[in-house]
Amino acid sequence: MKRVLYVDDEPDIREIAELALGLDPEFEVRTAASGAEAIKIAREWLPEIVLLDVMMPGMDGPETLSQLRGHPETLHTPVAFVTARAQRNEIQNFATLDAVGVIAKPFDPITLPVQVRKLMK
Amino acid sequence: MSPLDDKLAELRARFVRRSADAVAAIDRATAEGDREALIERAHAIAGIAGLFGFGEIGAAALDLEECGRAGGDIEAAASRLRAMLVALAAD
Repeated sequence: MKRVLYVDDEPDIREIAELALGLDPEFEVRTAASGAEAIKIAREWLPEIVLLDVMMPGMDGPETLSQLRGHPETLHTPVAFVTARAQRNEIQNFATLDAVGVIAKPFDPITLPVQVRKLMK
Repeated sequence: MSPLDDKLAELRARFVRRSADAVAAIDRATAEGDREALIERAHAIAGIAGLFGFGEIGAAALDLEECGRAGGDIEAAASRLRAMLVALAAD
């Protein structure tokens, strides 16, 4: 099984993402509602990829990534950002933050697992 | 219907039901001059509207959010989003 952690402060999106990613029978999916919760889960559960909402209250996505890199368990965990701004102009900035990619919001629930698999290669 | 389709339909219906609440929230924030409240509301709508097939509403919310964060005049963007939500609530 491939462990996928989806992080978003919006409960509706977490629910849809969990169901959508669950369409891939090889994905084991967990969700987190904040950066702090994501770090706690990631250090214990060791996901193979973390999908991180960029704009979250408190600790945002880039800050969460930065903190993940501060722990040995998550130093090399692949992280992709999920953002409504993906089509705009910030993709290059995310690349420099050592993210493996960007998923545009709103994502297509049906093709989300395929997108995530590509990012895991 | 798959569990995903069921959930999307359920959340979509809830989004439509709550569009009148969103209009009220926009009106309240506008009347109080509360930019942060407007931006937060826009951000929440921008993140989910497109998932339920309301791409134009999502785009209008994103415009409002980005305009607000850039320090721009958000009145026109708020008014556009509001009109779309009013139309949705009336459906």
